Amino acid sequence: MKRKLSLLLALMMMVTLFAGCNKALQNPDENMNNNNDNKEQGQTSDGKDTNQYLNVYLSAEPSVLDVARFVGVVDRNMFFNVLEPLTRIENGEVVGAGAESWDISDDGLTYTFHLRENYWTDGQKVTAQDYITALQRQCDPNNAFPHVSDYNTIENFVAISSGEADVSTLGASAPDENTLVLKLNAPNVALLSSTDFFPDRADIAEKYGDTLGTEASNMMCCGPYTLESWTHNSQLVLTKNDKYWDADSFDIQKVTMLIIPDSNAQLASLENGSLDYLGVSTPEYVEKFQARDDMDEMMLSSARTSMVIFNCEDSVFSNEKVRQAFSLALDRDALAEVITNGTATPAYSLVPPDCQVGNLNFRENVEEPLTALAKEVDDPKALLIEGMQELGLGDDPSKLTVKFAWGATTAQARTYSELYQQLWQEALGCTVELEFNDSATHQSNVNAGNFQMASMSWGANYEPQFQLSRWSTEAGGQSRWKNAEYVSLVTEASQTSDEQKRLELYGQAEELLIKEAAIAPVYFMASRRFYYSYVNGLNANTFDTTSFKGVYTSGR
Amino acid sequence: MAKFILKRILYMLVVLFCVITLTFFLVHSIPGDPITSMVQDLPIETRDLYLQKYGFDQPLIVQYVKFIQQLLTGDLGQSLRYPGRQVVDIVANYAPVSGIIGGIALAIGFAVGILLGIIAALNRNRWPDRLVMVLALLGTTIPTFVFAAVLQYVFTVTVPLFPTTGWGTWGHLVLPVACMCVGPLASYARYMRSSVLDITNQDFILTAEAKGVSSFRIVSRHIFRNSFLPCITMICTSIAGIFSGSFIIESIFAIPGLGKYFISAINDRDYSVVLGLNIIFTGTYILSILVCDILLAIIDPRIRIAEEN
Amino acid sequence: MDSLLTVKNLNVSFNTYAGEVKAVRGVSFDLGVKEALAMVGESGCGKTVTSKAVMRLLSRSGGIIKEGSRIEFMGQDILGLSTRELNRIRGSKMSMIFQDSMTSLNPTMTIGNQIMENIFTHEKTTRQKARERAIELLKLVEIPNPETRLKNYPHQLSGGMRQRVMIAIALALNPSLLIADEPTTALDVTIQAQLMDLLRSLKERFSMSVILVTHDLGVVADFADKVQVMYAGTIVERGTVDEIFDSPRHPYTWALLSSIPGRAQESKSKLYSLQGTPPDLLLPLQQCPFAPRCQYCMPICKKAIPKENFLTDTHGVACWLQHPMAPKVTPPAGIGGYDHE
Repeated sequence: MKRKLSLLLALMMMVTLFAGCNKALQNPDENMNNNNDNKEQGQTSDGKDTNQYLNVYLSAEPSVLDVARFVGVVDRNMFFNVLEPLTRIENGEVVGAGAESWDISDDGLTYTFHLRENYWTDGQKVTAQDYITALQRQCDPNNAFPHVSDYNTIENFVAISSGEADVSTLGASAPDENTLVLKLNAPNVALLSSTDFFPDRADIAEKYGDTLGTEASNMMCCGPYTLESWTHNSQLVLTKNDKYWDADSFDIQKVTMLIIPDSNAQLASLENGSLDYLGVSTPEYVEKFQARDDMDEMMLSSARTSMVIFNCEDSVFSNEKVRQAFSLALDRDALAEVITNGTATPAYSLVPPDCQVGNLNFRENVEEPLTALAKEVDDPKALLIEGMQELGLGDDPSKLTVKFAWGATTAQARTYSELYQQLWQEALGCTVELEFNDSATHQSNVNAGNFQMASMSWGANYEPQFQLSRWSTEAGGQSRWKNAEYVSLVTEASQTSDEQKRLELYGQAEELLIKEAAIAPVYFMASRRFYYSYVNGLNANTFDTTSFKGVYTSGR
Repeated sequence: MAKFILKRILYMLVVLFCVITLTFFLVHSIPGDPITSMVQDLPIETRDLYLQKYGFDQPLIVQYVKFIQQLLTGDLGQSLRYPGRQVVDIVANYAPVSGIIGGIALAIGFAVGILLGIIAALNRNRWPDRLVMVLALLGTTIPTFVFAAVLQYVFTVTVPLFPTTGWGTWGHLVLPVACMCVGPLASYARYMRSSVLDITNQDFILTAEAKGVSSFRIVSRHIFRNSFLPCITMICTSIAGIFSGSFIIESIFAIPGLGKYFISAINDRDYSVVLGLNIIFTGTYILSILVCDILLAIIDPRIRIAEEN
Repeated sequence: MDSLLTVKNLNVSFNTYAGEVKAVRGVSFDLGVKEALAMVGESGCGKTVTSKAVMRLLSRSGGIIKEGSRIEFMGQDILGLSTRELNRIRGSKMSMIFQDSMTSLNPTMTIGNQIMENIFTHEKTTRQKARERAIELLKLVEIPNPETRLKNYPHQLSGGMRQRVMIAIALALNPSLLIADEPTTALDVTIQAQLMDLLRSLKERFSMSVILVTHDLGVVADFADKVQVMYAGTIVERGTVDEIFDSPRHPYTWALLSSIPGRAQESKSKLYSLQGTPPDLLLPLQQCPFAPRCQYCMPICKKAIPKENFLTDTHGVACWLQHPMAPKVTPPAGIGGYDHE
């Protein structure tokens, strides 16, 4: 009897397992077999395939596709696919998207947007109120929106978000359903190139509450694509929105975005065609793909600067000469070569070459400050000694021990930071200790001022404003470098509408930052993308937010 | 028997409570917090707002009490890294995925391992035995990620038989299960082999032979039953591990399972998820041990009679 | 009288890492119907191996029955049988019981099932009938409450009862031959006596032949018809129980008899113990195996193997002392003339 009971138990377990199997494998999305789209593939008269689809790599699972609560870059990029912001950046320029045109008042404090006719996928019109709803939800303290600071030029936005003001005081209004008026608390010439204004549906937000944006069915789209399905931690599928105002510019009908955490798996997916293109950095694979006839290569700038930040409140690094010495002692060519296999460009300044000031390219017009400094200083070691003497630490660098913190704990992390260590120790004769932490701990330490030198990287936006302003806070940014002149330069620049003048101001600010060595820039990051030759129209412009416009496949 | 079960359940609850409390304080003692790990250079005000929303500005004890109160109503909290997602839903969605892979892998590893172990033992020192032992050695020593990466490359690129990554069809199951079953297979094969060898040398096998019992029946009734019993204890502890999934395999094959989720949650300092999942895992583990104890008491007469007395 | 069992020139070896261990060297004997044969000797003398060889139970321990050996049972050549044919005989025509009853019974099978297993292996019968027979057998071996005991597991019984169960299993199909390998060694003295009584009465009742393997001569006296004394894989002396106890001839037999506790008391001397250790069975036999330990050893003993010399039809001694030219030796005090009752 008891034996029969145990057999029954075992049988039950197996049955539930099997039933569970079937249920979990039943995918609401039938389009699982990305490699075998069975539709007939032919070609139209202009050489494009009749069946236009893409399989692309997505770097992480989106946190939540809600404009008022999202956390990261992945989410933001997704919004450009499924929502229509007021403006987009196309070919390196700000162009109208949700807004057909706009007027800026003379004092630069009032922006009036004239909206284009556009509809949500359920047929409702996209109105000015929708853009206001987004802003209202973003400054709602209950949502704890992580990117509140990005909107601090909108009148009362920050005050509302900290609960000090009522939402009715927000500097946004809609005189009619096609006109949106934004009021700023100070002129911000880079507003449209640095801040995203997405629309949001108040009724949808209320309907779904906390679960808004956690599933494909819990959101409303109005962009070039709709989110058709979302299998968490696995893939997202976008399908073309034929009602989109600019639908004719989009050829790709379906985009399947695969979330693949493991780099070997990513490379294997590219190799066997499960992905149509991918960024590749592993040297062996770079060679392998370069040798293939059916693949092409393009270099993409990441518009990101890798750097070493100095803690200016630290006893040793409070001295400018010490910092300069450590900055100059780095062999940037070697570092770029070893760490990035030559894809990165050595950096002697903060702002990467992609950044524009209006129509002017920043880097083309401003000399890299560190090159000038390097010419002045022959021997970084002598400079270090001077600094040490000023601090009363004697004149023997071999008695100086400093710490360098790195934000990863992999084996590679050790190799890379050892290179830094070697370069400093050889050039300066001091001792450098290495510290490794996982990225969360590293960030936490840096923010708490718990470091002497730390490895860091910062991405840039269209205008230098974003990057430079990381150090124009009262606390002096992560470097704790309090420089009133820098702050006033950056602030003034942000309000200067004249491009040339603005460029000069940014240039002066950057020069201060680099020459006083609040940071030591190391290299401008870039990546190498390999794509199958049948993919055309891939965008290499770093700041463009045009989704898949102009991309098509031919001869898949 | 009923008293036996009741007593075990009581112990289970006590252990669960201790684990929950310990995890709570441990997780909160790691440097970093959920928001800083996600957003670079967050202004203090925004950070404070965020922490306030989730109650992190309160003293730890207050947070703990609130946590326990929530727990008793069945609310495991909300994810911080993925706003709007309830921990309970996360478990409901991801656990079956890990469970399927883990369950099938364990079943295959167990069944095939036991079989190989018996074959090896009955052919002691001949080629089947040596082959099984070599395979078992490889299975235990080759790291999972190496094996997985190799399998993935060979069977999705070199000879494209299966999808490289992802989840949803039976085809997606094959490689992950193959990787996961290697470990248990090797363990059970070796364990069963030594168990069978041990039993085979016992006198009662000789008695059975002396009775003229056919060698088939000797293996099936006398050897198998007795050498199988110790393996059941082994499988019991493995069953609990089914749902915790394998971080490595889920990462390599991009499978939306609980294992990867759990490790990522720790890296992201997603407190509620870490705590919630830990509670689930511990609970499952303890429960499976309880079930196993009961099962074993049913199957093994020696234990059953001892318990009844 | 026709022999039930004939063993001729049995050689059994074990291949070990150290070499070939010759456990049984050229053993020959007969066993008639209803006869009880006792094989005695110290540990390692080859008596257990011989008894297992009769049933061909050596494969698990790696024993190899060498070419030239011959075992005939009820007219059949045992060594030539296929496994299936052998299995038909084992358990039904000839049975064996072992020394350690705890480990000799399957711990996860009920007593009843283990008895019935023997029945089902050889007969097609219903479960009900088999159960009845099992109860009958338990009654036969004098186990109280047989119905309850059927459902018991081995660990729920005492040592003596387990041994009785083993006997019940062995007797299930009325075998003609029962081999008992040291059945009482693991039991205490009173239980020993009970068990031997039981065996004796069963032997009578079912007209069975029994081979009793033991190192304890005390048990032999009241039970056996014939005795074989084995040493280092060979038979050094054989005879009827009277011959062995009244007129033993081999120095080893004398030693064995001297070491029976009861005798020591009688002759008021210290408990006799034989010095030395049994020989290394790896080496080939080129001399009398007992020579190193024999106090009557002569030079010839170390040079040649003594042939078995028959004093009567039944009494054989393999010892150089039997040679006409050997000196006359008297057995130690207290040996011989022992009145066994």
